[in-house]
Amino acid sequence: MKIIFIPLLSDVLRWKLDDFLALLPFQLIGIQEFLFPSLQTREVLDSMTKVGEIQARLKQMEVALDAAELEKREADNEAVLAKEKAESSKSEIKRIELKLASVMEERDRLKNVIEAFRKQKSVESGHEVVSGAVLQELEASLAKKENCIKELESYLSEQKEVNIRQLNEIKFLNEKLNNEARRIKSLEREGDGLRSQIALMESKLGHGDYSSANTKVLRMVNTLGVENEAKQTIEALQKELQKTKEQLLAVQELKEQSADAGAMVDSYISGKIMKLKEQIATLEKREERYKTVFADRISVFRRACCELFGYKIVMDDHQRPDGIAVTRFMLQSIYALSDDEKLEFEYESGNTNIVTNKYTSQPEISQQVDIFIRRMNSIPAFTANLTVESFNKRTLS
Amino acid sequence: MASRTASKDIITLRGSAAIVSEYFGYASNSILYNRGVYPEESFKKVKKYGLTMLLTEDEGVKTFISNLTAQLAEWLETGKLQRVVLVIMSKASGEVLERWNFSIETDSEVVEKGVSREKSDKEIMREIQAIMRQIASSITYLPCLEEPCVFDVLAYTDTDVAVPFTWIESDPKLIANPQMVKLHSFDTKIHKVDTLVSYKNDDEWDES
Repeated sequence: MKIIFIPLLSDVLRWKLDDFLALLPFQLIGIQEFLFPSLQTREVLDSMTKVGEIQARLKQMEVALDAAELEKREADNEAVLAKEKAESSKSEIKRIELKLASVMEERDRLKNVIEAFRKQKSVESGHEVVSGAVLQELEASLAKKENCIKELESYLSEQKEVNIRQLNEIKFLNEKLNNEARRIKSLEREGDGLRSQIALMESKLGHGDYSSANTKVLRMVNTLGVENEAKQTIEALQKELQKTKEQLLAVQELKEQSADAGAMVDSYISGKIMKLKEQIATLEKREERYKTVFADRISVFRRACCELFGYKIVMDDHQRPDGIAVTRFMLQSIYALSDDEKLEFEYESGNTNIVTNKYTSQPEISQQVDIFIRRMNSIPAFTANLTVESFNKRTLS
Repeated sequence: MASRTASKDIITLRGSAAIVSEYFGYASNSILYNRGVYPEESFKKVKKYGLTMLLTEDEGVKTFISNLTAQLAEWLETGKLQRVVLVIMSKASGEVLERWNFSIETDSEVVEKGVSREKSDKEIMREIQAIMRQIASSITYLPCLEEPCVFDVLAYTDTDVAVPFTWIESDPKLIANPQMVKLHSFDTKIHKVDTLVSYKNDDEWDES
C-alpha cells in the first residue's frame, strides 16, 4: 500500500529544498542519474537517508496526527460537553430569568408594600424611604427600621425616664394639690367667716344703721295721716272751746253774785305773803350769821395751819380751759426771804399736783420738786424740806 | 362714625336721676297698694316697665309722691343721696312694721366730671321690671298688716345737704331685730340701687 502524505500548508512553508526532493517519485531517479552521472551513488545514499528521515518524520507526523485526532476527539467531546454546558447554561439562564422575573414580581410586590409602608410611615413619623433597588431599599428600610427601633428604644428609655420624672412630678404635684386643698379649705373657712361678717354688715345696713359722721336722716313732712286726725282734733277742740266759753260765762255770772267773797280772799292772800316775807328775812339773817361764823372758823384754821406747818395757805377756785373746775392752793413759807417764794398746787378730785412757776422752776427748787414730789411722791416731805432750808437760810443770814 | 355714636345708649347723670326717681315713685305706689296702706279702689292701672302698675288717685298721696320724686331727683343729680327708706308704721301706736330700704351708690366720676355712661334703656327697664315683680310677690312672705297703717319717707343724705323746707331731720325709725329680704338690684351705670325689705320679726310664726 502506498501512503500518500499530504503535508499541511504550515509544514510546507517550513520545508527546504532537500525536503522537496525527498518527495519526488522513484521514477524520477533515473532522470537524476541521467542528469547527474558522477554523483549517483552518494546521492542515492543521501536520498535513502533522507527517505529514512522522511519516513521517520512521517511516522512522527502520523503520531502527531493520531495525537491530533485524539485531541480532536477530545475537543469534540469537549465541544459536546460545552454544548451540553451551554444547554445547561441556557436552561440555567432561563431559570435565572424566571427567577429574575419572579424576583421582579416580588420586587414590585414589595415596592407596593414599601409604598404602603412608606405612606403609613410618613403619616406616623414622617420618615422618608430612599428610592433605589428593592433589595437595597429593603435593606435600607430594614437598616432604617433597625435604626428606628433603636431610636424608639432610646426614645422608650427616654420616655421611661420622663415617665419617672413625671411620676415624681405627679407625686410632688399631688402633695402640692393636697396642700392646696387644705389651703382651699382654710380659705373656704375664712370665706365663710367673711360671708358671715358680710351678712352681719348687710343686716346692719339693712337694719338701717348709719354713721352720723357722714350721713344725716331726713324725713319728708307727711301730713297725710295727720290731716284727718287734725280735722277731728279741731272739731273736738272747737267743741271744748264752746264748752269752756259757756263755763266762763257761768263763772262770771257767779262772781258778780258773790263780789264780797272775793275781797275776803284777797286779804287772806296778802296776809299770807307778809308772813312768807318775814320768814325769808329771818332765813337770810341766819345765813349771814352762818357765813360770819364759818369765816371766823376758817381764819382760825388757816392761822393754826400756818403756825403748825409753816406755810400761809390761800385757796381759790378756777376753771380750766377744758371746763373742769379745780381748786388752787398758794403756799408761802413763813421763812420765805421774798414774796416771790410761792408754791402753787392744784387740787382736783383727790389729786394734788404742783404747778410750775418762776420760783419752783429755779434749779435748786426744781431739783427738790423732782426728788420729793416726782420720785418720792411726797409733797409733805418737799414742803418740810423747803421749810427747814428756808429756816436755815434765814437763821444763818 | 357719627352714626355709630348715635346708635349707642348714652345715659347722663340727669337721665339716670330721672329713671331712679321715677322708679321710687312707682315702687312707692306699688308698696302702698300691695301692702294695703291705702284702699285698693284708690289706685288705677297703668302700663309701665312692661307690667301693669298701680298708681294712687288719692290727691294727697299723689302730690306727696310727686314732691318726693322731684326732691329725690334733685339730690340724685348732686350724688348726695345715700338711701331712701319707705317706712310703714302702725297708725295707732306709731310702731315701725316695715322698712323698704333703697340703697343708692352713685358713680362719683360722673358727678365730678360730668361724663356719661353707656347702658341701654331696655336693659334698665328689664332690671326694674324684675324688682317690681318681686315687690308685688312680697305679700306672700311679709306678715299681714292687720291694723291701719301710715307711711313715712326717710332720706339718708350727705351731712352737707341743706334741709329743704318740707323735710326735717329725723331718727332712722329702725325695727329691733328685723327679718330681712334682699330684692334684685338695678344699675343705670351711674346709680346702682339695691332694694331690701326689713320687717318686724313675728315670733309666733317662727315657733310654729
